[in-house]
Amino acid sequence: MKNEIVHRVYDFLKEYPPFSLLPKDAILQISSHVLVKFLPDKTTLFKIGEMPPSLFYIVNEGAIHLHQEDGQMVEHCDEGDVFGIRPLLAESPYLLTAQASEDTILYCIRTEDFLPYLSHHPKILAFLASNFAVGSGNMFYKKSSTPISEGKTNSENVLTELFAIDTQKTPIYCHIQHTIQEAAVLMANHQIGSIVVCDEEIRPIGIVTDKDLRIKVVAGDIRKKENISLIMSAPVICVKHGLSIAELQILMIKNRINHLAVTQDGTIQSKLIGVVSEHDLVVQQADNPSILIREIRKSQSGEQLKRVRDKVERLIKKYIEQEVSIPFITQVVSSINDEIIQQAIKISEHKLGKEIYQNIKYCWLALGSEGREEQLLRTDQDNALVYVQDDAIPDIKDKCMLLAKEVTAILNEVGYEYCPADMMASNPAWCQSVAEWQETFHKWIYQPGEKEIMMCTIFFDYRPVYGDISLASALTNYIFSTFDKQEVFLHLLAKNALENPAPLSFFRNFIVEKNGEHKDSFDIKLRAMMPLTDAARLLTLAARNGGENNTCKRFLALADIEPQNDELYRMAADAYEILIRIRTKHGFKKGDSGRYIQPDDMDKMERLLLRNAFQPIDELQKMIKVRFQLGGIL
Amino acid sequence: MIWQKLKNILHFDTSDKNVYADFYKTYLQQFQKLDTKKQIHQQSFVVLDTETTGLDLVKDNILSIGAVRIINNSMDITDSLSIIVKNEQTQTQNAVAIHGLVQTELKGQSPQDALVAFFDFVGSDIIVGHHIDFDIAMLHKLSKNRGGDVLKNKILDTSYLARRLDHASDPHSLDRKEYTLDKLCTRFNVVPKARHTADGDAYITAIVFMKLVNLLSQKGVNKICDLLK
Repeated sequence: MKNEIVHRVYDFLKEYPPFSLLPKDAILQISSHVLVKFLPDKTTLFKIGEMPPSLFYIVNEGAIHLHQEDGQMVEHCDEGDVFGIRPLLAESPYLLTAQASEDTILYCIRTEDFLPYLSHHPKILAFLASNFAVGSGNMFYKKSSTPISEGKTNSENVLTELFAIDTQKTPIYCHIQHTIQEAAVLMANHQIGSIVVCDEEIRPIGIVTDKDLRIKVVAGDIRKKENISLIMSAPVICVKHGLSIAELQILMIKNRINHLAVTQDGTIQSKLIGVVSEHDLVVQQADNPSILIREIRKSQSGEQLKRVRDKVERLIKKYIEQEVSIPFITQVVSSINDEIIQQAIKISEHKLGKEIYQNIKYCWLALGSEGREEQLLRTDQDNALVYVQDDAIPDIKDKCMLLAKEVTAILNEVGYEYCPADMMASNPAWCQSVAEWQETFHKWIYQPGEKEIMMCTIFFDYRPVYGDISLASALTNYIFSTFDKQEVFLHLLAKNALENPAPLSFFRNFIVEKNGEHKDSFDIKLRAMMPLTDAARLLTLAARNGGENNTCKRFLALADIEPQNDELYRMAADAYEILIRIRTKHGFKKGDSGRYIQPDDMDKMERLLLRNAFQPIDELQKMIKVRFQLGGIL
Repeated sequence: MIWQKLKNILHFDTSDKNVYADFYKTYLQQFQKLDTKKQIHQQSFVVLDTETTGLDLVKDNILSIGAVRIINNSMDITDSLSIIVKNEQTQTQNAVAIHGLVQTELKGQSPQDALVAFFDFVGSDIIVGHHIDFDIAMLHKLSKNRGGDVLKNKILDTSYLARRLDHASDPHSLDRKEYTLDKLCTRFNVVPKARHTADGDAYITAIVFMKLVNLLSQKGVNKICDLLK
């Protein structure tokens, strides 16, 4: 006959990895040998240093906390979570202490029942290995912007951007007392296109390039017998040795320069040890951000921009595959996205008449994920425009909207689809003068309905991308001063931030969509990313910390402002990175925005990472509830 | 039922030990006196449940016996009992309605073999069950019909323990109907799966029992003698 107890255990085990990866017979066999253990609240199951019995555990009901020696909790295991797997993988004592955090029922699995399946099921080994790593405290992906050692990566697939470039070749420099001619001779002798100008202690003061010689000396009226300091650019941007190509490239893009001086401590106060030019970087790679940006700047149509953006997609894919750190990827990609928007505006201005827009003071604002510098895959456009009302210019609003129409059309062609809710600068409601915007904000903040709050969550992540940046700061200042008079608004924003509770128990309660097109898939944006974005925005606004939009950076900034919550904010920043990574990866797999994920498409590693990423959501929401005293409102 | 119990006790006291069947002789030989000074977690308990053809002690019979052993808050599934008793009598429609056991499943072991297995499993452990009196009475009837006699083990009723937890000074004043297994499952958060199978109910009762003992220990019930009060 069928033994009901064994079946009860079987019905439970079959739902959870690693057992779910096994055939039915195997699970039944394991189930028939299980030890059921009741562990009352606060009871210790095992301690650090104890030799494990030949058992490992799965929580059937209740919860177990794993602690480090200092008492810090490393993991919360609840229904379906496996822990204590050390005896399966190594004969060594426990590294963590396990204690029940409520009355708990454990199913203890005998290792000898399980071991035979290990060798035949590589997936199980992978699952256990990742579980094991989590238990040891390495919760998240490695963050490597430092050079990857060659042995680790496939040589065909090496990510050149991550290699440190040899910046220590003997630098050619000239002294500040040298004449232009002396410097030019040095450059000619060494066949170099630039030369660093140093003081007596070989500290870099300035830099002279071929271009300076051409424009200022040959075509200009400075004589070659004059001092080199007359034509040099100063100061020189200095870096430390050991930066990756990509990091150097970012610095060049940001400063719009082609050369960096390498010094002992990375400042102009120390001795010059090398020079890196953009050319040095370019020869080492093909698809690289700086070349892509150059292509963008040369583009004259949406079609050309689209071709470049497609290449960017390939670059991101390569980054994701190589597990390059997310802050780095988002930084590169948002720089590129910005360039595309800027170029789209330039093309549009040119088409409509450059002279018209020369006189209009305006600023193009990126909203939503692009505003937060988090957009990796192309999603819908969210943008707005703010201009300074000038009665001397007739129909100024129409002119701005006309420009916006052109720009959004180009962006649409590039692959950023039109916003279905029409939150674009081409919409009169999103193309307003400074005064009109202030009036709009006033209305949102003083009469906040559901729609207004939603508008705020989209708009308040704005970032100036083109034009007069001071207009954006004016808006920020206005928003903060209005908050001061209307604290209740922040409470409503807080309420909104709690609308999507953390899907904390991932294995138990995989919250999938119940209806519609995406039935049974997991909405990573709504369920996991939005709660973090909302919390970061709210806490940043409450701290009046303008100017930072990126969710990870917002959390890191908050960690500095509130050192008492340092750990939570850092966990939240890490969690957000993981979510971006998983979403992007799945977006590539399915060729869409990656928002909806089929639970079955996720491997165990991803599930595990996701589950860990949910933890800070719950804690943040609890904190928000207390801080904004939402007990009464909710 | 009380009359039957009394009869059982009288019967036991006046019986001749030499005429017992082997299973019962073995049971008596190996039976060890309980040390009531022991801590609860050192004691071995057998949590059991039976399913019967009906609720009439005279007319009805045991269909199945399920039991698990608990020591120190642990239940080893390899050390459990799940017996279907082959019934000579035709089962009533009633039992099918309650237990869903169909004829094909009623192969099982002969009453003789079931008794051997059961008495061997129980040994000298304390027996635990929910509303256990009826189960014990049915087991006694089966045992006596096959040349055995009553169980000498100490017996604990989870329904009584729950009432004792709620009203230590006078547990009997609380309504038995409020302490059904289903109600205790809800209270102690045990999923009532495979109810009305002997082993399924034995498992559930065992979980409820461990949780009850834990709560009683917080009220100072730590030794076997405290628990048996």
